[in-house]
Amino acid sequence: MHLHEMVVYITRGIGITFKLVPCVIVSTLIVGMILGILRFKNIKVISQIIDLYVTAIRGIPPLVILMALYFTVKLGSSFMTAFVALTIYHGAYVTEIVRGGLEAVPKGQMDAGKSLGLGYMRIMASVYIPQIMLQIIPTLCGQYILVVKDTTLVSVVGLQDIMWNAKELIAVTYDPIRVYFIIGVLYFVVCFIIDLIASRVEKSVSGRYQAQLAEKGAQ
Amino acid sequence: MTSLQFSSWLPILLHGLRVTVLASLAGIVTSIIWGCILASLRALEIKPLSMIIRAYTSIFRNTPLLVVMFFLFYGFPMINLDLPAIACGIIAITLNEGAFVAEIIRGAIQNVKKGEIEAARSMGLSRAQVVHHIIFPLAIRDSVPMILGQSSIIIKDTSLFSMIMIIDLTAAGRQFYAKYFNPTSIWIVGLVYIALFLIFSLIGRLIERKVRVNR
Amino acid sequence: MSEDGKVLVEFKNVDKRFGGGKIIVMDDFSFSFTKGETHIICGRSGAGKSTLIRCINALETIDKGSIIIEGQELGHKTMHDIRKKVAMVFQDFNLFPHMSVLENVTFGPIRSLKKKKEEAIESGLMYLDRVGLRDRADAKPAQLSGGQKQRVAIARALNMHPDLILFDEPTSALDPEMVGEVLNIMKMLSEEGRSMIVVTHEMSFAKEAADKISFLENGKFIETADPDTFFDHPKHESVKKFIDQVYNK
Repeated sequence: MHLHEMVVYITRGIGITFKLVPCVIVSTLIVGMILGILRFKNIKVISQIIDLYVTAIRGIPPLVILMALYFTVKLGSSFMTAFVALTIYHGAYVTEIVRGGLEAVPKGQMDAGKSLGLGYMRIMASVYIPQIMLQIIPTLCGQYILVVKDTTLVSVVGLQDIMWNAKELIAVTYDPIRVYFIIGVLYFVVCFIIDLIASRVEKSVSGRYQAQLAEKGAQ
Repeated sequence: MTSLQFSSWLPILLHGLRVTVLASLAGIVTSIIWGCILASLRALEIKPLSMIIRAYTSIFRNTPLLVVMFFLFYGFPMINLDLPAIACGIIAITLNEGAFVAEIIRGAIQNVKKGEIEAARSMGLSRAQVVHHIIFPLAIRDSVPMILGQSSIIIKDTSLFSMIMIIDLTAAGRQFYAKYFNPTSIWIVGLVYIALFLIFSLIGRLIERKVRVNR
Repeated sequence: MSEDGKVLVEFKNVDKRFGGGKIIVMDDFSFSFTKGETHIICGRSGAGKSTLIRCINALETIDKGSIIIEGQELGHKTMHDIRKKVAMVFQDFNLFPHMSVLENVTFGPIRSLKKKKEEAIESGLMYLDRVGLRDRADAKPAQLSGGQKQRVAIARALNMHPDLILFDEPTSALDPEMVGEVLNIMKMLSEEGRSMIVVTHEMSFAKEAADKISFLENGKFIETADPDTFFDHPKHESVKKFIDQVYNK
C-alpha cells in the first residue's frame, strides 16, 4: 500500500476529531467560565463542591472517565459520550484557569466597581472577563492541545476515529511504524498550530505588559 | 457487584494497583531525569544543540502519548527489539513527559536572578560550573511545584498502559466489566486513582516544603 | 606591601556605550588604578559608574580599547583567570539563596580556586569572624538582615584572597540603620591597604576612607584627586555643583 493511500485511509476518521475538538472547546469554556466565576465568588458550599470536582478530575485519568461514562450511562451516541466525558474532564481544568485569571486581577477593581453601584455579575462581565480573556489564552491553548491529544482515546467508546482506522489498517498492512508515524505527524501539525497561536498571544500580551511598565516608568 | 464477585476481582485490582504505582514511580523518575538532562544541555547555550532540543520538545509536547506508545509497542518488534510492554510504556512516557519537565525547568532557569549568576561568574567559574552549581540547583528548587503537578499527570498517563495489554488499574476495572457487564468496577478504579493522587499530593507538599528556597 | 604604588588596572582608550550609542559610559577613556589604594568613583546617577567597574570583571564587555589587569589584558581567554583575582561586592548582595552562609563564603575558593575544603572553611570562618558573623555560619541568607547579607558578601569576596575588590554601590539597597555596619568593615579593609574600587553615594565615607576620588561624567573622569582637594577645592564646575548638592546640603 502506498503512503498516500494510507494517509487517505487514516484521515477518513479525522472528521470525528475535527467535530469533537471545537465542541469540547466551546463547552469547556462555558463550563469553565460559569464554575470559575462561581468559585471566585467564594460562597462556602458552592466553592467546596467545585473544589471537590476539580480535585477529583485532577486525579482521574481521562480514559477512566470515558469508560465509566460509556459503560454506565446511555447518552444516545458514542460521539455524545466522548463529548460529555471530555467536557467533564477538561472543564475542570478550564475552571481553574479562569479562576486563576480572575484572581490575578487587582482586588481594588471589585471595590471600584461596587462603589459605582454595579452588581457582581455586571462587574464580572464588563470589568473582569474582558481583562482576563487575553491573559488566559496561552494557558487555554495549552489545555486545548491536551484536548486534541485526548481525542486519541475516544475509540474506547466505540468512535471510529483515526486510531480506530489505524488498527484496521495495520491488520491489513502489518506496517504499524508508518501508520503511527503518519498519525503522529497529523496530530503534531494540529497541536503545533495551537501552540504557535499560544506563543503569539503570549508575546503580544507580555509585550503590552512591558509597554505598560515602560509607560509607568516614564511617568 | 456481589461480595463474591468483588472478592474474586480483588486480587486483580490489587495487581493492577501495584502495576500502576510502580509504573508511575518509574515514569516519574525517568521523566524527571530525562527532563533535567534536556534542560541542562539547553542551558549550556550551544546553538545547534539548543535547536535540536527545541525541536525535540516541540515534537513531543505536540504528539499524543498514545500514538508514541503504539509506535514503540508495535514498532520495536519490527526492528527485532523485544522489549516488555511495560518498558515500551515507560519509554513513551519518558520521551513525552521529559519534554514537559524540560520546559518547566527551562522556565525556572530563565527566572533565576541575574545577579546570582553574575556573583558566580565574577568568581571566575566557567559557564558549565555556573549552570551546575547555581542555575540548576536554584531552577530545580523553584520548579518543584510544577514538576510535582506534571508528575500527577504521569500517574494518569499510565492508564494508557491498559491499551498495550498491561493489566494496570484501568485494565483491572475493565476486566471486571467485561466479565459481568457491571460498571461499578470502573468507578471503584476511579476512586482509587483519586486516592493515589491525594496521597501523592500530600507527599508532594512535604517535598515542596523541604526544598523551597527563601529569598 | 612592597608593590604598593604600582599600576593595578589600566584602561586604555576604552569606549563603552549603551542603548544604540546614546548613553556614553566611557569615551576614549584612559586611566590607571593604583595598587593598595581605595579609589572611589562618584558621579550623577546614570553616568555609568557601575558599568565601568563591571567592565573590570568582564560582566560587561567594552566596545573598543583594552583593560589591563596586573599586566594581563582582559579578554575572552584571560577572563576567568582575572575574575579569580578580582572580587566583587554587589548592590543587592546576590548571595546564593540555596547555600548556607559558610557555603556561600567557601563556594568560590573551592570551585573556582580549587582550594581544599578544610582550608576554605578555615579561612572562611576567619573572614566571617572579621565581619562579625561567625555565629551565623550555618544560617541561610534569607534569615539575615540586609546589612548582615552584605557583610557575608564581603566575607565571600575576601575569601577569594583577591588582589582587588570592586564594590558596586554596596550600601544603596540597605535600610539607613544598616549602612554603618557595612561601611565600618569597608573602612577597616581600606586601612589594611587593600586595593578597592568603590562606587558609592556615601560622601562622608569617601572623605574618610578614600585615597583618591574620581568623578565620572560624559565618559571620562573629569576630576581625580585626594579627598581633601576633591571636596574643598574641586577644579571642575560640575563637580562643585555635585558636592554642593550631595554633601554640603
